[in-house]
Amino acid sequence: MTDQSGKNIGDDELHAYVDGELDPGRRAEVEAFLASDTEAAALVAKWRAQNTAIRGMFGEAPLPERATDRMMIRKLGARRSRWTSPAIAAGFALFFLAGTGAGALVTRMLDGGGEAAFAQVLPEASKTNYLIYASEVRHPVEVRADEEEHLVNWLGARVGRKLFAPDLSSKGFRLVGGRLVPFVDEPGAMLMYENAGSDRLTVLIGSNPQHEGTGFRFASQDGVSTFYWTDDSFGYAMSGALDREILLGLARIVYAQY
Amino acid sequence: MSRFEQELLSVLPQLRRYARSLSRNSEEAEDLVQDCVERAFSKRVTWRGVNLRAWLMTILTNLNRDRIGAQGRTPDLISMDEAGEPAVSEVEADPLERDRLAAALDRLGADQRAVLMLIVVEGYRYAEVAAMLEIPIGTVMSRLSRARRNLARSLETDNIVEFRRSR
Repeated sequence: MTDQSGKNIGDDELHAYVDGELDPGRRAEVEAFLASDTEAAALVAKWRAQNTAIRGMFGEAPLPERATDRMMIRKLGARRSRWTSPAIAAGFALFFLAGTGAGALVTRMLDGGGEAAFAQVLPEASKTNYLIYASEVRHPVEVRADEEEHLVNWLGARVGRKLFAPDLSSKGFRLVGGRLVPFVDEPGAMLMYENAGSDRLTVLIGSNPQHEGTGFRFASQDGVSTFYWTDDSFGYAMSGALDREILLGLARIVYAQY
Repeated sequence: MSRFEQELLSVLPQLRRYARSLSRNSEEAEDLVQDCVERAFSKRVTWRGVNLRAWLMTILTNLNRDRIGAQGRTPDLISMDEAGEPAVSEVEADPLERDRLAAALDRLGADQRAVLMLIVVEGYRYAEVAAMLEIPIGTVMSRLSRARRNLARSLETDNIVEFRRSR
């Protein structure tokens, strides 16, 4: 099929015409061509009729938000503590991104770019650690709780302070174990706890390069709640897909003990 | 609710419309929406913070493809009883015509149907669909073209609304 000036008008262009993909100049040329080519005009009419029928069937204005949608999102969002392998892969992707971001922040921080930087990195790093490790089913930790003494001695030696695992059993959480993690360019210690409902939380401890204490702070991002604080040598952060109040109760215990 | 959850809630109606346009009935569509939301939560960290709607549409398209296969369903697998209500709103159209269209759409492969619906119902441009599905624009156009040809062929055949046999 060609138009009057001899340019080819193929089916692809007829589809593009029907779907409004052509610029005005070409559209006019196609219209002129359709006026003279009944076969092409019939095809276009057929596709338009299909479009009308399909839109009549599905194309109504989107259904308004249902009350149950809110609940569904809450419910499905709450399952995130039981993520499966694709999520773990995604978590790793983020980990590397976040690692880069954290590195940049540290660089800025060391360049004198603001004293808030470590406090910014801390909750982000804690959230990332949580997202990666809490979703692990078989290997959430390197050293399990049945070797608690070895765990705290080892991690304490790497982080450079005496460590212990706070007792959270009054809130129904028991120690799963821990692992060594990268933490703002330094070794960090991560402890993981779990309750009977398989909700997990992570406690991250690493040295504070800014040697400055901050207050007790809360951050929430991507459905992960984080409480964090620093003293003049270390930063501490606790993350979990838990309600603020529940995590707060747990964080108070850790805060009181450290 | 987090920003992510709020944005999710706001695009859910469009997501549901798209799911319905890919499904045989509203139960199937709702399953698809829920799977999509769940997947969205688990992949949330890969969302770059822009265009959540397109991101969800991509997830839903892939889930649907995984579910029914790129080539679509084999006819005669379900009985009329199991088929349930067609996933359509109340429209003042000839019910027979509506059934014919629904049956013809069900015969399309998942890939063709997705492209057709993204363009015709959701109003995406060819280039946007290509980006969402990570395929060349030429593939978008060939799928669209085949979808329309197959649809026309089905609609022009008389006995489209076969009674699906019980097994």
